[in-house]
Amino acid sequence: MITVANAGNNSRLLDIHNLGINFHTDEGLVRAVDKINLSIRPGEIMGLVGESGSGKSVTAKSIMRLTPGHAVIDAESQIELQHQNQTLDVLQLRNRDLNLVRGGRVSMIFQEPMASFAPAIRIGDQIVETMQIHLGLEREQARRKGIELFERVGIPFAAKRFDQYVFELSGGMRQRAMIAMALSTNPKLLIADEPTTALDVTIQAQVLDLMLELREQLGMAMLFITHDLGVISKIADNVTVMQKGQAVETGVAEQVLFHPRHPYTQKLLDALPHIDQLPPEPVEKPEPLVSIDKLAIRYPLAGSGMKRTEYFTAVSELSLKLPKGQIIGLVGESGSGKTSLGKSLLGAAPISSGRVNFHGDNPISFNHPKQIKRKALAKIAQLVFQDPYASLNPRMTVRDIIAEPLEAMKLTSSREETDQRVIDIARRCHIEISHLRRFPHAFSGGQRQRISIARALVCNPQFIVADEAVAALDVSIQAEILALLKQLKKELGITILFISHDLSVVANLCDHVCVMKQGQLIEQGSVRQIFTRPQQAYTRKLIGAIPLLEKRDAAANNIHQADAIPA
Amino acid sequence: MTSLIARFRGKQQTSQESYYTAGQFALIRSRFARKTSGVIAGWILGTLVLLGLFAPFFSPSDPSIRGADTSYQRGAPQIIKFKDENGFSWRPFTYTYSKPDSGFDLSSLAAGGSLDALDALTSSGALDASEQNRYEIDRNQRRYIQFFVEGWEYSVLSIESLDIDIRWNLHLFGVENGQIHLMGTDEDGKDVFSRTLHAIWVTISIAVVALIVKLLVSLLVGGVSGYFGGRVDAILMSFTEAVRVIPSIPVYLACAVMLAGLELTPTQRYFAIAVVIGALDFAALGRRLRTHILTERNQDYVLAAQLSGASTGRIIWRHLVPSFSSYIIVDTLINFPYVILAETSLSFLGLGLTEPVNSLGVLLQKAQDPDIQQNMVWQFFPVVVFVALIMAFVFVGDALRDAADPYSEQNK
Repeated sequence: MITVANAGNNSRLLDIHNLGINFHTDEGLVRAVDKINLSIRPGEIMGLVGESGSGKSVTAKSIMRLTPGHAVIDAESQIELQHQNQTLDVLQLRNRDLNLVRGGRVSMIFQEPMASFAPAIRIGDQIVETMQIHLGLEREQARRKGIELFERVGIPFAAKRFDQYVFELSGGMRQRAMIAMALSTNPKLLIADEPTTALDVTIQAQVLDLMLELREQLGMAMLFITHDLGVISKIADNVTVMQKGQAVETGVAEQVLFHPRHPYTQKLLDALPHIDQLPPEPVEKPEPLVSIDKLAIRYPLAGSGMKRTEYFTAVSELSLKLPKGQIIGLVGESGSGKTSLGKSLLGAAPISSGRVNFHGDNPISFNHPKQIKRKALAKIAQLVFQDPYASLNPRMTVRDIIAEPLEAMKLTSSREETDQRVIDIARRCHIEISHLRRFPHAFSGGQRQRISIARALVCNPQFIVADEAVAALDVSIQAEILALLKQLKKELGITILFISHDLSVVANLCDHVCVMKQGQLIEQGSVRQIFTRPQQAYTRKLIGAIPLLEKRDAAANNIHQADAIPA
Repeated sequence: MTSLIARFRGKQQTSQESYYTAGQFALIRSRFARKTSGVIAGWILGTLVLLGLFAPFFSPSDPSIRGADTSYQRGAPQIIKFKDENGFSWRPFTYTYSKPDSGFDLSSLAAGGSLDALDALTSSGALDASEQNRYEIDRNQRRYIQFFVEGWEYSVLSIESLDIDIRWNLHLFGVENGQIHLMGTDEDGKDVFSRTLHAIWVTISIAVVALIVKLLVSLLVGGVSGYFGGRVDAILMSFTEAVRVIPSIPVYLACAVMLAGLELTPTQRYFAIAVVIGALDFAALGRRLRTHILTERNQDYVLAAQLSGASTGRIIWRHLVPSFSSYIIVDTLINFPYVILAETSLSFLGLGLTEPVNSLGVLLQKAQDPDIQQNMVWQFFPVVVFVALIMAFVFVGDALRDAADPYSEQNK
């Protein structure tokens, strides 16, 4: 454990001493945070990095005493916050005084802006209410200030947006509005819990720039929580790396990211995808396994009532050939239609025109969902889901989950044969055989995703759609799953359509890349071609926005690093 | 799990592993066990249900008019003692109670029949309600309680169609001479304690029948509505809402009138009531099941099953039904008291079961008689049992609801 040695307490905004938190769970007492020491000075951006379950979010929440009910904070823990020349110990405050801290002195931004606004109250009213309570402003005054803030965080038509509801804004705008709300009370510390994780890369880059800019203008400190080291390298002055509730390494960002001292930090860095190691150009072009012919997918809007005249076009007139035995990356921002395209290949999205042809041993062709012989299609094409939690039935054992396609389609003649095939595929996917008796609640995200992959592969399909299959996973787990997919491609010769918003992952995994924008295929080619010679401006923009681990312009940050923590 | 996988079982079964391999119901049980109030209520509930189920065995007297104790009508509860001025006894006992001689010669009334004689009888106070409750206790004549005694005969198992009727006459306790009345007797001399035990079972079995009918109707309406959605859903739900707005008491009244015209035996009558209560009460549960299925069928794992080639039937039985089975169990338990209340309120209004049937509703209705309230407070015993039963159901249901969805916090 590393304790930050420091001179002079008066320069600190926040001081966390020996913070320890236990969770009472079904599995017994879990040590979520173990004697963390952390301090943030005014104007500093502290990055808090760690994989899921490392305790970073709980640490942040404890600053506002927002820890969940089953969490117990150690008695000797201290969280000291400077407030008008006096030191508040947050953990000792009475509930009434906590409002000084919550939303006043300290504000918070969450990962899901949609979930953090009340859906039935106008955004502006929520911000006005906050300012009325904390700053004692009049309604009109607060409203003027709120609109100013909206302009400041770069929301166009601020006055109009101010009176809209949260569902009327796009993801990036929602997060900007959330930031505006967090800033409305002039906090000295902003806690940002994975604020850009749910956003597209280009939006993420904009939001990060905005946060850096606001720090310059307002001089507030930030505790920036993320699992993404690339994001950290862009934004943080200092970094604390957490593992299993402990702070394993603390220091200046450059130092930690480029000269890590702790093996865990090193491991995290090694697991990062690098786009500079692209595979060579393939020599021969394989036969297509799937060809998509002028496919269009439309969803009816406003689903209630008898008349369904309006449609949302997710994919329009798209033609594409997927080469056999390759991993094809399908990239694009949210709303580009990539998921609809992937699902339509499995017969799970409404095809309004066009045709999907599966070549190979058992050719199948369909141009309408009703035409699909579902069982025949299920034998050759399967899906790996994004969310490893929702996609496994929590009431079935792992064995039953993996055996589902075999049993549902009656592909085996006896229970023994089913078990044998389940065991074979589990071995291939590195699932311990003894775990087959367990229920999904025993597993972490990565292990669940292995189960999901095993279920998809158990009936020997030729083609798999992996829809954001690693998006919900930690980097080190992500690397393992990517390696597994590569290995399975090699061993089984399957074709994988890998849908992702993360270009760095695609660069690592795929042989071929297709870029989609607003329902259309705008560019495709080999990975090397796309990443080294992108033809379209949009592709260049996507690649440019990848938050890569890179050394920053020293001048921009030296103000905050000049008096950095001595190592 | 079959032998093939069984071979791979590790030898060590740690507590961690048992959590990992715990199914839905095992998880619910372990969470329920942590709720002290629920566990205590569970034990009380279990005891009451067992007492009701084996009511004839636990009852010292026949609760029907056949078993009425004519020598101890309107009698107060008989206190069980171990010790009095005559000494201590390991075997608990009560005393012999006898009617005091009113000192009035009834034969003169019978012989002469004059108004004077009648006047004398009235003024003697022997006819006063409070006077009739008075019994003389002979402290020297102890009646020792005996266990596993033979007494009135009852049927353990009776299936008419198969001509099976197993009868038994063993009882948990009783006294040698005469009868024992732990909670006193009513105006006919029927044992209040025995009547109450029998009433528990009648009331619970009505509730069970009502809940099964309700469950079937709600499953049908809610399940079809939720799974198919669209127009089917719209039509079924408007029908449900229509049923829901009909006030229940007038419907019960109408049913009671109808049932009265059908010349039913008390048993048939009570099943008819149960069916009516159940069938009219499906709206709330049906709607909730529909909502549950609507959300559940859009879950990724249902799509995963569809993409695995599973048929609609398989998705419903393997995936959807288990997802709300715990929910149904909890909902049923929580609703138990309401159904019991419905039965009791019907009987209370005189629409449901009536004397001489033993049901909690009948006994509760009886307890509103001013005569009982003034002179026979021991007939409030069924009220106490009723309150205990309802409270036990409420607490168990509450604890189960909290424990029920072990997956509610998994994603967090």
